[in-house]
Amino acid sequence: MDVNNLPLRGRCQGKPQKDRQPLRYAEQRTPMISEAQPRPPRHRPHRRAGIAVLTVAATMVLCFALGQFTPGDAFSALELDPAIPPAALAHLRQLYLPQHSLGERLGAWVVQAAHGDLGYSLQFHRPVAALVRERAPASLELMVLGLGLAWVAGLLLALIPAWMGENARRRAQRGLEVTLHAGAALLTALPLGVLAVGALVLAPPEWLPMAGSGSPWLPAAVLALAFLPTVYFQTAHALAAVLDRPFIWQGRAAGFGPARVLLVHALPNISDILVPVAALTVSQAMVELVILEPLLGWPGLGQLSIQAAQNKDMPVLSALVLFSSLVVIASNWISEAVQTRLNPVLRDARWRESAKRRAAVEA
Amino acid sequence: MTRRRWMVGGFAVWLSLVVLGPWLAPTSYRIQDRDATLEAPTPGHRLGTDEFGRDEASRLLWASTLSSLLGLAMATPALGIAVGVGLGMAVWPATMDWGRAAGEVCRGLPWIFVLVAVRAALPLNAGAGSVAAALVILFAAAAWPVAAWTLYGAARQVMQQDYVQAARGLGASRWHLLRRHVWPNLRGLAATYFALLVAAAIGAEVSLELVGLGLPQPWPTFGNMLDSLRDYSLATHCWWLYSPLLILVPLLLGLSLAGMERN
Repeated sequence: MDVNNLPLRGRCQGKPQKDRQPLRYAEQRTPMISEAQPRPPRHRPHRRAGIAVLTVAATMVLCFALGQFTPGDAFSALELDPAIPPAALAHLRQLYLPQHSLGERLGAWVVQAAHGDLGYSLQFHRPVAALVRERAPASLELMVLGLGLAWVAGLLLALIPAWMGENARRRAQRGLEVTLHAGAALLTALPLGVLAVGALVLAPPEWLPMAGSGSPWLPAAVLALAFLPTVYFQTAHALAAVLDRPFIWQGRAAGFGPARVLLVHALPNISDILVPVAALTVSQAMVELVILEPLLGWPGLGQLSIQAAQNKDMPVLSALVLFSSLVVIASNWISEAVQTRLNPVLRDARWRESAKRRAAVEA
Repeated sequence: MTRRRWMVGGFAVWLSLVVLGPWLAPTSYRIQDRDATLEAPTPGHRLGTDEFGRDEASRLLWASTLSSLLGLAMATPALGIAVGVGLGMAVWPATMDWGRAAGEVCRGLPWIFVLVAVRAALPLNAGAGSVAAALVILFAAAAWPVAAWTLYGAARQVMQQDYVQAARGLGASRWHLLRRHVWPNLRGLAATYFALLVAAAIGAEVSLELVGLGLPQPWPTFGNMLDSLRDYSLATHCWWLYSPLLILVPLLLGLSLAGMERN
């Protein structure tokens, strides 16, 4: 007897299975976000590398254009000072700013950047690469802590109602779900800037990084609050969808406990939805750092970018654009690599494909 | 049904606030009453005054118009690109690789740093128009890929339906499929995404304003008005300066609930 072909409705208690009939035109369901995301069909390293090269090239051209075509330069502010004669300014510009043609400058910039030389910051009187290297660890610490907190809390908050459901406590589950949904929706209505200002006002002053406590916990908590709704909603939706699939019902019928159903069968099977979301939160966090760090006085790359913007320090800004696009590319790569290894279905598909390839080579 | 009524009601309130805001404002958003700076609410200034003595209620009404219009202006091109690319990729599968590549490149570019750099490049006295244009362009560039994926996934499901296959078999052109089958099925999802994008745009404007990257000062927006709360003594003593949250939070909450409704 084939277990897969058993009628499900007779066997399982609780929620009846949804009709598996094809939907009619009028009542078509719009798909959930998590369902509609395209799955990576095949391992295509050349395509991925091509996209990365394209992105870096686009970023470099963008950085260069920003540095070259913007009115004003590092000496513009000095023009306002009547004590400095225009001739001295012209001399300074000749000394510090490149005077070659556009093409030459682009070439020189790319070659320098490829060698790790990102230029010289006239605002801080230091090489840009050293500045970035000095500030990056603080940003990284904040990002790891904040996103870590958001993911741990979000996964837990999504798993607890599912756990109640597995234990047949439907009413408690429903109540908790409604509360959590409402809370998360309210949190999405507070922009990050408002959350940060709220932290400034509500937290005891000695917790703030700019008051001298070097502790990253307050900014990390704000960052985590900003990402909590995304993590919670995506996990909860994906869990609800997977917990209704036949293989889960089969597991329950075979007597698996809630822990086994949720952690061994449900969670790995939604990992291919959660891992891209994780990559998305990393790239989103690069954005949020620019807003969070200056507001809470955390000495990272975001604060550096705002300081550089106030002084028209284009080499620093170009370097930051380049650096953060590299971070985003790296996170996308890691997510694609991890995705196919965590999900059992995709892992099997990969294994079968490689077995087929091996067989073809042998034959 | 009641939910739908709530949604329509909320939408009507928002729309009337956007249209009527400037007319309902008791005074101008830029008149400074220098004798009454940081005044708590009085009959003359219903919501108090800010640190320049500008009437908070007038500024709030203007801000709800300006911020909403800016949010709509930021979200419209983003949705347009997302719909064009998402549906295009589903209906003309040959364009799929290009669409995906463009989306991934756009997702990899750090638009916030670009915005910071553009703001740095603009002259210090840059007009509101050029700042708003930068916001619109960069938001569209940053926000379209995720919406385009979702729309593409949904559109591909529609393309696989029997009635679409039948229409194709009967010789319908791809334009016909797009107009007659794909778009009517995805209108709802696109509207949903529009609500989410508008909420994201208004929220982004508030956050950017707080780090000094939004519209320049005399213009009132939600973020611009909340900006004075960065001063600790103002934030702890002048409770009326929190009034923008009275409109901002319900607006963003309503928009994201409307977005979740269809999802």
